[in-house]
Amino acid sequence: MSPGRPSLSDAQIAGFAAIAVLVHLVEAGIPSPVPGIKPGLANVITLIVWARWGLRSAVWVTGLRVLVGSLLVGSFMAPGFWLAAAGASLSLGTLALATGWNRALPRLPLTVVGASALSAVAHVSGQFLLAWRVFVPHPGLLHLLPLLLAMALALGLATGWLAQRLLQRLPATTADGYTSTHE
Amino acid sequence: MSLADRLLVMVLFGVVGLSFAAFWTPGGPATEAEIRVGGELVATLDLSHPGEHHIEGHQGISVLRVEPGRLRFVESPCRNRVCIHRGWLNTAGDSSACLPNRVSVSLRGSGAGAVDAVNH
Amino acid sequence: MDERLKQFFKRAAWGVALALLFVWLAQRQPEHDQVVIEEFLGLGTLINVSVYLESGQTEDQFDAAMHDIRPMIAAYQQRWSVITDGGLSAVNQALAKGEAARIDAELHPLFARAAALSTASRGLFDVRVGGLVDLWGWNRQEAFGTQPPDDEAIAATLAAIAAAPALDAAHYGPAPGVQLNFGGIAKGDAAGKIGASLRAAGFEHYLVNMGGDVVARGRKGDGPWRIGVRHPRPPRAEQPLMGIVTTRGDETIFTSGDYERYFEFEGQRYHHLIDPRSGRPARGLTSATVITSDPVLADAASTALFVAGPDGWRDTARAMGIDQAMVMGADGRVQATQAFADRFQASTGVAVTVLP
Repeated sequence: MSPGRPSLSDAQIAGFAAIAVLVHLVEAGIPSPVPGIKPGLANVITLIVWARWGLRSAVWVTGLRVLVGSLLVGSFMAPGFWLAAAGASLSLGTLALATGWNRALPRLPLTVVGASALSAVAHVSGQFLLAWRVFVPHPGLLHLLPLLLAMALALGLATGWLAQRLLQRLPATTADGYTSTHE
Repeated sequence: MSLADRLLVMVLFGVVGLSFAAFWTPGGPATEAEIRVGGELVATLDLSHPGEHHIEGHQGISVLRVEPGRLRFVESPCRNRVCIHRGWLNTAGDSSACLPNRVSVSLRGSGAGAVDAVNH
Repeated sequence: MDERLKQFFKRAAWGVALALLFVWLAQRQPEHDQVVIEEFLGLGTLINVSVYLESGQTEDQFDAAMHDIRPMIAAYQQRWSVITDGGLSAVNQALAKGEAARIDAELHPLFARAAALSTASRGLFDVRVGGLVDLWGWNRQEAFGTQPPDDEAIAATLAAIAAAPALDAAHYGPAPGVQLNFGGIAKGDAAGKIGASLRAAGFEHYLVNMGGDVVARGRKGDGPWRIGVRHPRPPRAEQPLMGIVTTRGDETIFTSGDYERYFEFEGQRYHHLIDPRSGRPARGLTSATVITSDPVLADAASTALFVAGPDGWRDTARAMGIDQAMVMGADGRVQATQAFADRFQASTGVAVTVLP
């Protein structure tokens, strides 16, 4: 953890995870025009936490989201859960890479937009690999990969932009790690 | 977006472009096949389970072979071989028939890019 | 607990409750499949009729329409078949006896179309090739020929056709040695009739697939109908399509190819598309695809373009008023008109050359 970047308290992590689960559920309730393609708005929360409070907090929030989300939808330990977990792991992996990059090259930093595009593509790749290798070993599925990656890139840029806008509006953190609200 | 962002996004666009060059073909993969004899549905085959299926038609047995994601006629009592010449079928929306034996197959699937019919 | 946290969790709980409400609402109205499909065998092929139901239309209405369409197609097959007893068979029997044949009124419209299309295609499409079709054995559904016919038999049939009068709608013959075969046009006509019946029953969004030749109208919900075009020689088994066409309104897409109805003899492939000039399978192309709004024209033109070959297809298309066409040569090269190439979504590795 870099200095001046306090990590979140347990309660705050739970709070952000709850928001992420909420976003995830709302998204699940909206029918998608193309089956299997979702905007991934819950990732906005992960990105905000990553950009403001660092990788460790983002890993916690995302892990909780996947776990609680699947328990609520009832897909815990079912294929859907493993798909979400695979996607989340790879996407967190790329966020770790982005953290490393920013630490190594502080003068050429990646912002939340680039990280979002990268993690969205990684998310879809992770899900696809698992689906293709384990659940549906089906040569035809490979033809869908380019389409999925293109959608992921576009949606990743969109969610990244959204996260950036939200970060600009999010009040600065106080020294003790709580966000100060201005209500 | 920072300079690093722009570079990264350019690389990602390249990766997506390469994946199109490597894998993209329009037409969605079929996931199941409906088998009809004389127009009546007799079986629905899951194309993720390989195997051979013997379908009793009006003249004899038509043999269908299923491999992951595809299906073909391998034997049929017809002599004109149109059904066998059709080869492997793997696109949702495609269909084939052994007319003399009145056995037809229609592939179904709902992936992105599935077609409603195959012109041949 | 911190006051703000308390407030936050209260809001989150409300949010979760709202989210669950959304999920419940979404699942309460499952998107039911609004495309209904019926398949049956007719005209020597598999006929697949898909209809997109608009609000208020039911599957029962579709079933009722299909209930009328099936016997109509059976009667149509009887009328135009060269092997069962019907209107066209009666004409052929009269011709075989060396007599002039009077043509039933119900056959007149398609006879007139066939005559006009034969003229437009400069004889590349010709229904008078029935004798050649018989010689090669393509009229036998259960078993095609296994070897090419004698050269003399082909020459004699060609001479008979050359000496015969041009097609006329009301009466024909005498034309000794000539038999009529409407196989290159009847499928298109029948597909058009199925479409007309569906429209009469109130369906405006349908797709009729006659063993690979497709007539489409309207849309499939909020998207167009998507038609894959089969690759005559698929480079890889996973890639059976040359590409995709999405339909615009009322359209017909027909392909004539050498890859299904054929036999092999001494290493040579003999397919069913006979060149009326040589009496033998047309050489030079592996497929010809045509898009136009008129199914009868599409059927005849795909045959004529295939027969015209790599050097003649473009002029034949122009002469028949076809501006969307694509052919694949025996060398694997793909050529198309500008209007076809503009809308065709080609598969990877399929390079389409535009021929102006």
